[in-house]
Amino acid sequence: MNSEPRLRELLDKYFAAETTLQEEWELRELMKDGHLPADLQVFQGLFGTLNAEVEEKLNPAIGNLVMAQIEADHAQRGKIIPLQRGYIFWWPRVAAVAAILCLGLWWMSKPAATPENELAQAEKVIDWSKYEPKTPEEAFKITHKALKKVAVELDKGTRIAENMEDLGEMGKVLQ
Amino acid sequence: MNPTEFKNAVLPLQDKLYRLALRLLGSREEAEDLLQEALLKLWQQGTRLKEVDSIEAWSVRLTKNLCIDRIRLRGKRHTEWKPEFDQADDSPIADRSLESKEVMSQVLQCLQKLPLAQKQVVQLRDVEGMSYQEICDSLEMPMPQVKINLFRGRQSLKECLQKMNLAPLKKQ
Repeated sequence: MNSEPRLRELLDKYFAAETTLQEEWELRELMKDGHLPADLQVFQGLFGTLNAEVEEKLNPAIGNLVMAQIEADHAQRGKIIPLQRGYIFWWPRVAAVAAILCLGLWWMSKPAATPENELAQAEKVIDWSKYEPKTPEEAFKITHKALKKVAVELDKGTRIAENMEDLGEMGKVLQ
Repeated sequence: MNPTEFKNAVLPLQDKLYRLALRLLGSREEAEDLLQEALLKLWQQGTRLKEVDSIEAWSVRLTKNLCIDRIRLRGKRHTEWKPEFDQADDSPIADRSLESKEVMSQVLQCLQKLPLAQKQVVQLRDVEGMSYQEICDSLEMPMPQVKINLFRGRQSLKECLQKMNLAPLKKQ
């Protein structure tokens, strides 16, 4: 057999998983030879079986059954009227996103709360001009009231001092 | 995807998918049942199926994954499972001589003994004639792993066949 060296070479390559698809096809053709050496005949069964395997087909009834189910499913899908959720419910989503964006922008643009900023803010809020006296009589009244308050507080101190002296006298008597 | 598109794009692959399922599950009935499930799942994927690079690779992957799920389920059920190579009237073995049937049955047994990963790669390469790249895409397996599995699978087959000392197939 002239092709024997080539057949052996291809078989070695095949079992080393180094053959190309072309070489594998060539190998199968060479294996069909009816006069192979005894040691190679053992592999004839392998390639014969692999060739026969390709003839294995799915029962056409199963393919038809599947197609019938698919046709029915497709027809059923055609009858379903989908809810137009996209059309009806799009605006609350847009409004929610816009609200979140506005809140974020406000938060970002807000000045940082430092003590200086807080004092400036407080001074800005109090309108001191409201407390300024408008007439000399009003100024006199305010001054009089303030001096009277000071006098009362000073007088309180004198009385405490007198009491302290009284306590001193009592101590002497007790001794 | 409409039924006509599906029929043109996926249905031509049904025999290839069936052979893979049959090889992995070892049961004609189970492979047929699985293929129905696989085809309906592919149909349900609709638009997604249109967007994939290769419908063939996608379909093979889905079938393989369904087979693996079934094999795992068998393991959980703890039922004794034996691969069957029934001589159904429509099987390619059925119309062969008794001697050829015996040889083919032994080869199939050797194939069935291979570990799952090797079995998948040998099936796609040696039966379906797919390129290494197509096998990589279909099984989501890196190229070196595909080559290693093919090498080991073929080596195991060689050893198995030599042990059996098979007679050559008789021509019809």
